Amino acid sequence: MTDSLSLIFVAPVVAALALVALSVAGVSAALEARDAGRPISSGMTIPLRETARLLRQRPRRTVSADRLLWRSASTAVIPLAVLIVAFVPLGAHALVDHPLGVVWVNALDVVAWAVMWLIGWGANSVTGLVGGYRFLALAVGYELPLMFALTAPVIAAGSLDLAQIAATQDGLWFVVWMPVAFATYCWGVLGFSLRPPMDPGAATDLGGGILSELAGVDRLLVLGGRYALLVAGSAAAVPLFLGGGAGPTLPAWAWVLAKTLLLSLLLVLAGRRLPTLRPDKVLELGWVVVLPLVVAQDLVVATIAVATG
Amino acid sequence: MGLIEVLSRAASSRAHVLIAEAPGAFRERVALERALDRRGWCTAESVADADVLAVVGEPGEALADVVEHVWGQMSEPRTRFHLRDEAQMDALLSGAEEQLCGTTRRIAEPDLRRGFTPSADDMPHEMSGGDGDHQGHDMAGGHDHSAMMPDGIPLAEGAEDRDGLEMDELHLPLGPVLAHWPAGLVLRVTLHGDVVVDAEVEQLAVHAGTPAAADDMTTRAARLLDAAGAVLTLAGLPSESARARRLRDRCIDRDVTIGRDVITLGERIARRRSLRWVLGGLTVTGSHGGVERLQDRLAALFEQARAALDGEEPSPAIGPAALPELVRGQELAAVRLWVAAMMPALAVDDRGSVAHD
Repeated sequence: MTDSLSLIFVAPVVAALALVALSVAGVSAALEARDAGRPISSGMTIPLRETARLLRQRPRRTVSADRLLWRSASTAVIPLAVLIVAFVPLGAHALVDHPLGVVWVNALDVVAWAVMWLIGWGANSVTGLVGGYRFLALAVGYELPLMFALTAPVIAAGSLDLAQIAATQDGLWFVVWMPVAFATYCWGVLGFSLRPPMDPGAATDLGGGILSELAGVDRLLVLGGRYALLVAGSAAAVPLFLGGGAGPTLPAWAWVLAKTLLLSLLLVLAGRRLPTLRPDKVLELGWVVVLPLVVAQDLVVATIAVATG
Repeated sequence: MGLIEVLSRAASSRAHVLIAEAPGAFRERVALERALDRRGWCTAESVADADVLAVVGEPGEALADVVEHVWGQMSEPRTRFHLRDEAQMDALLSGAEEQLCGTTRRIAEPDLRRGFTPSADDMPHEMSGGDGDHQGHDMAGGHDHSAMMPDGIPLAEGAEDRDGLEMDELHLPLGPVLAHWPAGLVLRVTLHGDVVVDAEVEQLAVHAGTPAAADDMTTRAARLLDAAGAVLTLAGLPSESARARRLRDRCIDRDVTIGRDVITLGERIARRRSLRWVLGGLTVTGSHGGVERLQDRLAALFEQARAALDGEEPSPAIGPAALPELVRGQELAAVRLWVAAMMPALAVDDRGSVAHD
């Protein structure tokens, strides 16, 4: 903890998170604009206009809503993303340098279970509730593979410290020799940030599921928070699989930023190509296909680690 | 003032529109969706998401009541308009934008409005009650229902689900103000979690003055492609859905030369392995006792659209009366997909009277 970055860096890190999240949302909206036959440039500004719209809109209450839990859950999404990013090393050090960084990141993604469920449940509405159910069922499908995927870089580096893990990938990034763990991790990121195709809990057929009763600032915080979680998950992948701040010429923090942006964009693009995965499909995929594969990946990684260690 | 004005301009340049489509107003609704696309606006996915309420066509009494109810649930700033004739489109949309922009935000308590999705709670036969009414009624009755009816909403009752576990029973009306849903159709479903255990269907009566004109062939093809677009949106493929809707728009523009493009798109979608895997397993027992698959139904929409453009006779319609049997035991997501896929078949019955189930 003593090596953590100074508190002066909190503001730039949060600003960078917001900027990357806005850019990713902008690209996503631009592609939607292209689908609708409008110029791509008109789409890039949509996140800003949506923000203005939601800031102006009055929040909404429903009858017998659990206001405390509903409001606190919708407010919690963005802080959750900020906390994940706080553990990501931006070079040699993170905002919070902790020897158990991986465990923290994993714990925070599990907090997303509670947050997303409460957003759906708190509104006291059928669509929100069903969205919450769907999210939890989905989480049962992706969470265990995600945990095993996190194990692979930890075994290889022999450390739970994200900075240590990044430093171990000198020359050979983990993504190269543990692609299954990397893909599974990315799948999990789409899951806890409720991005397509892992978004049946917030799907159109439920009028937005857990989002269906949110308006105004509450809605803005959750919509923005989903992008922030996607970016935070991508940022955590940088020290875990993508060599951390390693790269030519540019300083380490710039590489972390660039890799985060690139991975977030790739995840958004992948989401557009795939149809919504319903919970039954995610369970089938997660437990029958992905879990055995990622355990086999861990076995391979462990064998190599023992042989070369 | 400067900042607020900039904010208002930016906000109203991206309005979300909730469409209440009256039966028989298919062409007007499509025209509205196209106009929204041109402006960079979009359709709202729920009441909470909407800035503008657009009533399209001539709503009957029942639909008009639901529209009033939905209007009451929308957050400020909000506006509404009634589209009867495509020629008024631009004036109406510009007017709506001005209205949204001009409404200065009133700093006040958030609205306490009845929650749930479009039309979700009070349907016409129980329209009398807002929250206050329910509570008043309870008190007048002399019983203390407050434990069973917090804020006037009855607690969910339990029942055994398909695995024999006790689940809360929840009631959710689907329609009539709902995107990717047949106009004027209401399906009241009873849910155990995500699973529909029971359903009742109702078709809202049509406004008395609506002329009953049969679809011509391009409109029929457009309906089929619109349904394909709805299925693809609900399945989570907005880009493919946009392609289907663009072909729909060309049908509306009376372009009958697109048969080839329709087939190409149908084949392109049928080739998508991820979609096949996701839709696989979604089946219903058809009217002849055979098993029908959703992906076949989706492919048939493109095939029938091509046939309609070639001037072939339409396939027979199914009445909404068959719906409850069809959706029982399905998950909500599957129900939405099936109903979307059957929209053209249900729409032919547009002008019929109330269906009996």
